[in-house]
Amino acid sequence: MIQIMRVGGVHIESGIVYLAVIDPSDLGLGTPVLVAQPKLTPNPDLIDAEALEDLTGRVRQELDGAGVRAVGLVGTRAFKGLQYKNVYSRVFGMCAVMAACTRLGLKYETLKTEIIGTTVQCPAKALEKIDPGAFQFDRPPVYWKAGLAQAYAAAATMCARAGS
Amino acid sequence: MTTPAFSASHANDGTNPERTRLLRLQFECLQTLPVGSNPVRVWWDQNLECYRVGKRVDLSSVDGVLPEPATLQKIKHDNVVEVLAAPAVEGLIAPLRAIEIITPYYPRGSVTDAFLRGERFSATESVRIVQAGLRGLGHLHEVHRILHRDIKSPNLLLDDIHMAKVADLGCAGALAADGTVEALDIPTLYSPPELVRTGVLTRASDIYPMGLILLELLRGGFDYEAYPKSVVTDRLLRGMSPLTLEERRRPIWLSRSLRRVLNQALQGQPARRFPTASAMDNALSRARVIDWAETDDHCWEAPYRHHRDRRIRIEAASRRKGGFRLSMHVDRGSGWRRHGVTDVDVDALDSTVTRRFFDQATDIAIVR
Repeated sequence: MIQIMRVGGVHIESGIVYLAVIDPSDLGLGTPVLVAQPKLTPNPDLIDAEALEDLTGRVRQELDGAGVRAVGLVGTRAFKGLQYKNVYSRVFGMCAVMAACTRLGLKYETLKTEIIGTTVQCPAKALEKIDPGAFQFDRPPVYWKAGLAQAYAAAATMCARAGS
Repeated sequence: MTTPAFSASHANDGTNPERTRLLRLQFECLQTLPVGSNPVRVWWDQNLECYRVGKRVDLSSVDGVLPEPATLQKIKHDNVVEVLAAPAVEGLIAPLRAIEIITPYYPRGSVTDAFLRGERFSATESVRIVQAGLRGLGHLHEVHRILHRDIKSPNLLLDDIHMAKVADLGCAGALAADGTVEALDIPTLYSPPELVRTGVLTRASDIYPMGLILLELLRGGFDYEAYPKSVVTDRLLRGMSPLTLEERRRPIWLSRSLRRVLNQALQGQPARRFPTASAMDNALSRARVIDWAETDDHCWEAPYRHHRDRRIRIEAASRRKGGFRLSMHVDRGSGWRRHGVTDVDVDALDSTVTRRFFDQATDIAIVR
C-alpha cells in the first residue's frame, strides 16, 4: 500500500507558531488538512522553562493529531541588526517545534526562503503573497496574512521534496 | 496469552498481603459498572520486581465496546496509561469471556485518591494536570479515533513526570466517520447531559468531564458520598447536572479567563463546548493563573508568578452595615503594605465586583 506523505509547514511570526498541514495533490501545491489549532501562542505567564515544555506539548499534539510525517520550518531572512528579544521569541518557537518533531520521530528541516520561493514560484522576500487558490482555498483562511501563508509555502516545499 | 481466573498464580508471593489487593471505588457515583463485575487489582510481579495493575473486562457484558486489545496496545503516549498485555482469563464457563488488561502501577493513584488522602492542588497544578489529560485524550481522539466515554477523576492518574495519564479504556468506543459514537448506559457524576438526552456522544462529550475535573481540582474534591447512583441517574434524566449548584460554584479568586474556559467546557450543548481536546488545552494555556489560597477567614494570598519572594493578599473585612470591604496588600520582602488600589465595598463575596477585584490582583501578580 502506498502511504501518502502528509507534511507540515511552520512559520514563526513574533514568537507565534503558525502551522499548516497538506497532503500531496495533483491540483495546485497540495490539499490542506484541517488543523485544530493552526495558531499556537506561547504562554506568557509561565516561567520560560515551563512555557517551552507547554508549547512543545501543544505543537506535538497538533502534529500528532494531524498525522504528519515531516515538518519544514520557514528560515529567517534577518541575520543583521537583530534584537535579542526578537531572536529569543523566534528561537523559543523553533525549539518547541524541533523538540516536538524529535519526540514524534518526524523528519524536520529548516528551509531557506529562497528554496521555498523557487518551489512555490513566489518571491522569497514575499512568501505571504502566495495565492491561497494554489491550496484550493476559495478565500484566504483565518491567520493567512498573519503568518499562515508562509507556513503553507513551507509545507508545499516539503511536499515537493518528498515527491522528488 | 492467558491468565488464570481469580486466584491468579502470580497474585501473591505469600509474604506480604499488601502485594495483592483490590482497587475499589467506594462511591456509587464514581462506579461505571456494578462492584465485582470488572475487578481491578494491584499485584506484585515477582519476575520484574514491580507492581502491576490488572483490570478484568467481561467481554460478554460489553460486547463490541472495548477496542481490540491490539489497538489498545498500540496506544503510546506520555499522557495515556500504557497497556502492557491483555491476556484472556482462563477457567471461565462459556459463554463468559473476559480479558485482563495489564498496566503499570502508579503509586500516587488517581485524582480521586489524592482527594481522599486530603491532598489539595494549586491552580497551576490543576491546569497542568488537566492539560496533560487533554493531551492524552487528544491522542485517543485524533490518532486512534477512540472516544474514552468514561472520563472521571478516578480515571486520571497522577504521575510525577508527565503530570497525569488517562486510564481505563474499558468503556472506550471507536468513532464513526461522522465523529460520533453511541453512548453507554453508565451514568456517573461526570456524565455529560447528552448521555441521556440524545444517546450520541462526540469528542465534546469527553471534554465535559474534563471541565468537571478541572473544577474539582480548583475547588477541592466533590462530596462523592452525597450522590448515590439513583440521584445521579434521576438528575441526568431530568436534564440537570448531577452536581448540586454549590458543588458547581467556582472559587471567587478564579480569573476571568479560567472561568471562561470552565464555562465553555461545561456547556450543556455539546456544540457550544470546545470541539477538540487541543482547543481546550490551548485555551488553558492562555488563561491567567496564579496560586491563590485562603490563608485565613476571608483572607486570600498568592505568590507572584515571576517574583517568588513577593506575595499579594486580598482581605475581606465585614462592614457594620453588612457586606464586606475588600482591600489589597502586597509583600515585597519587607512586610505587608497596602497596594495603591482603592478599597471596594461589596454586598456579597460571590459577586462580579469581587471577581473583578481578584482579576485586578491576579494581573498585578502575574507581571514579569
